[in-house]
Amino acid sequence: MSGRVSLEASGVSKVFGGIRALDNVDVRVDEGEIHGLIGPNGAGKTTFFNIITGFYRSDGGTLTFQGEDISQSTPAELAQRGITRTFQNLQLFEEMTVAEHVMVGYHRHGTAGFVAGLLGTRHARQEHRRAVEMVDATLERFDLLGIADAFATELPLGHQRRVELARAMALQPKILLLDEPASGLNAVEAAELMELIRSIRSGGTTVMLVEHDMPVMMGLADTITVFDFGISIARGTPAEVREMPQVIAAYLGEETDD
Amino acid sequence: MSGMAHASAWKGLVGVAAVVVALGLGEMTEAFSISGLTGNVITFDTLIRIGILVPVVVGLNLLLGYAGQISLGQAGFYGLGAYASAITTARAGKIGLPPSVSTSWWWPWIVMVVAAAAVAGLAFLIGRAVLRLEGHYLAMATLGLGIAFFILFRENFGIDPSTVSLTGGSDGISDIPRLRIGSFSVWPAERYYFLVWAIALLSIWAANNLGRSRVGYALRALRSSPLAAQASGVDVPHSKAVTFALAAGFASIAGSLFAHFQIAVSPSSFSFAVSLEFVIMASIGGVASVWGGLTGVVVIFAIDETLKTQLPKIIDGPTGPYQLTVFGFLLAIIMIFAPEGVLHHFRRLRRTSAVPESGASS
Repeated sequence: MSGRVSLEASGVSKVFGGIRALDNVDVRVDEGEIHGLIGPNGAGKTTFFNIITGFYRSDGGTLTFQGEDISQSTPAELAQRGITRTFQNLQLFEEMTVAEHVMVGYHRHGTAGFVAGLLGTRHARQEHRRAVEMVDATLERFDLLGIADAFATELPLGHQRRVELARAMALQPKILLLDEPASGLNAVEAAELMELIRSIRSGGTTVMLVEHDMPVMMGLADTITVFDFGISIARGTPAEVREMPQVIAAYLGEETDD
Repeated sequence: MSGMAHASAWKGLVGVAAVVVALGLGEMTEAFSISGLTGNVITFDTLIRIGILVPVVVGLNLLLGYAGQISLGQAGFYGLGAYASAITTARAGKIGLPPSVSTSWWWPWIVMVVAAAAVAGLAFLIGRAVLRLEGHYLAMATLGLGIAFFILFRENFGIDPSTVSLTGGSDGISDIPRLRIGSFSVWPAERYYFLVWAIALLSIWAANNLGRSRVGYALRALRSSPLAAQASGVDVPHSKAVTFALAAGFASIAGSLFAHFQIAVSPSSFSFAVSLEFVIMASIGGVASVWGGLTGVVVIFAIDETLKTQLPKIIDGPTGPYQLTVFGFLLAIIMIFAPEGVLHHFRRLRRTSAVPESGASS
């Protein structure tokens, strides 16, 4: 943990048809940490993820990654810079095998474009060979080698989440945003997932996590930011956040879905 | 995983090339002929027509099968290539081209390449705008585009025919010269056959290469999840537009080949019905399969020609309407039972039996 700032949002807002989904939120993620984002349903966590990853534009505030402004970048540009994510509702590719999913994740490390691709230049072929080797290594790391040739959409949920994770990690991202990675997993799968996320962090990738499963969140996060009604109301270690009166107030009497 | 796919793709290409050469040589030496082999159902002329359309359908397959984007206006790009070749040769004088250029052997070849590049460029610009649309909306937009080109051909690009008739209106343009290489004419038909199929195989080879490159994977990814493709660093709007441009460029080259084969063009060859036929051909071959392009053209031509020759034997009088009925019925069956393509359907069946338990390993 270098203590340098990875991602910083200050005063970020988002308005949907008159409703302030996010109102001046401040979030700071340090390099090398696992940063959790919690809050009741509708607090704006996923909206915030969508803004960081370029799927939404913020309606104000500043957004920087490693000190540089990223508020106008597209998702693809951000991915090229090493910011990627997984999705709460799995986003898998139809008619593509597990290995091919990871291959897509490797996209940003290649340079061969349409012309090189069409002509099958030596460059394109070498790049492809390297990609295949790299894909195999990633498959092995995520224990997916045995099902490398299965269609990802036909796998059980636990495997599908692992495929998404492997695809995202194939980018070798600097920061990985996980949107409810444990939802729908059983206790054993959740424990495996926690191990995986820890290993991702120790590999040098900063992790940002939205998760309703509190044991998972409390077990993983170094720092937690709490959202409520589109406002960031608290920040601290899991132990600190748990004791804060405003956090208890936000959760008390609220229906959360876990 | 890729090594095997690579080898089998090469084997397929060499196999098709061998068949093409055998049929061509058979015809040239009169040892045997395709008409003889098929009882006159498929003629040598049909083989050339099939070869001409292969690049169109291969390009469309990249767009439809890989990137998942429909184009119901592909005949428009096909027509642009054809008219570019026709106008700059048969009407060279009218547009002020010096005969020393327009009658030289290399001119039509340059036109073919430049037209394809220009059509691709145009398609790229159109694609950036149009490909924001999805599903039915994209279908409608490209349909409109195809019809717009059709009208431009028929209406002489809006130029008053009394000043200059570029397209010849609904009569079209005739007296388009044959292609030559130096003083070597690429005609009679046996020679043209080899040219057409060389380009057809080249288009299959190139599309195959693309499918195995990182771009091919990116296109297949953006088809079903543009979100995840973007999160993986794929520039989705750009990739879609370039694929659209590529498909248009392939269609333009085929159009030029068509013009120099037919030595006459008229708008009816580039109507909406033709666009639709291209899409059907691409669909039959199936999703993300370059071979699908070839299969689709061959299957449709085979059905078409069989009906044309066999129906008169059982029906008196004009068979046109019956032919359309049977054709439509067959297509409906194919779309119901193998919506993702006949070829794809069979591959899929084989695959499911080959990978019995995908979840067993962990």
